[in-house]
Amino acid sequence: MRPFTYNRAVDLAQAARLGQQTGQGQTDAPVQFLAGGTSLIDLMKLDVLTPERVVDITPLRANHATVQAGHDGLRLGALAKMAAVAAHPAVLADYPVIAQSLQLAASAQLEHGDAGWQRAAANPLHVFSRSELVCLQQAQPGLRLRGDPGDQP
Amino acid sequence: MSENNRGMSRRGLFGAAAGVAALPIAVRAGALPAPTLEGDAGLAELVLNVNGRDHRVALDVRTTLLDPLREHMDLVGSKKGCDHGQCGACTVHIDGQRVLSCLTLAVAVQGGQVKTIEGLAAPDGTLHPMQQAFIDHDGFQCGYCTPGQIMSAVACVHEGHATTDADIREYMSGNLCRCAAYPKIVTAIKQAREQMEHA
Repeated sequence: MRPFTYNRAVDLAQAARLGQQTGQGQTDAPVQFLAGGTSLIDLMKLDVLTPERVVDITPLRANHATVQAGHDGLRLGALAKMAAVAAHPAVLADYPVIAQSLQLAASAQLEHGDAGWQRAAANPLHVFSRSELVCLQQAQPGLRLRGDPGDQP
Repeated sequence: MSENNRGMSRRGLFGAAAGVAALPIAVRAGALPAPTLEGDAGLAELVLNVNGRDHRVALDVRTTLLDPLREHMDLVGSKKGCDHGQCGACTVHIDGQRVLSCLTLAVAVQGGQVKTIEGLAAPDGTLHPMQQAFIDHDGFQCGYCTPGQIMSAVACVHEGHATTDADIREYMSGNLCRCAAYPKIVTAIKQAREQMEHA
């Protein structure tokens, strides 16, 4: 693993500011967010990702890990863990495919470490770049991104 | 030399070696600034709470939790199998949840409570029901994966994922046993589950 600077995020605005230089690419991004790390740290060990800075956003979990189901659909906080989403009563009742895919997608250790929305949205063990998130947002209009000035819808 | 070593346990021997290895780290630690939250690349001084005890360690920011457990704290129960999160031999608990210590940055663990296999038995040495069940049912052969299996199994019961054999197999799938002791591991977990639920 290459040397990097570690920052522990204190709030969303600071984390977003630190992440503004993520660039367009995924593997060459100089800043990566640590949301669980079971994918990120592995890819860093393999030298696939070589960030100069790692921003640990797990301290923000308390405010960004809610799972809400209502008439307008299912809302997953970006830091909700796979295991938490898979075990949520509303997900089990109304979104059994998502619940089952989360349960079977990985080992329990990974499910306690990984952010659930990544798998619910698309691809397991995947680190999203900013540009990919924008594409994902276009494909799934409900996806909301934070971090741009004024926040994207 | 052989006279002195006679009667020294394997763990004692490792402990003596680890003590020598840790010495340069301790010397360097004295010259370091306060705990690193805004960490530069390089050494960070951390306080890690492991098995109820605070450990002050000086580590490269890149270090994952498994390495200081084994190399700096003499807690060699957690094993390094694949070092990529595939085998589960490094499984420990952080704040009661099972995690892979090989994929967890030590610097990110500050403030959490780490529990390893060494912290599972009662202070008087009485084994945890899961440890005893693995012995009762021969839930291992070579034993390399066993600390990870047991830590994972304890969490599996606490999560409520040990109700059926199929559930146990699914929720223990992150712990590989190349001796293939799986059937006996399932039996052991069922015995321990009964005891843990009635404890």
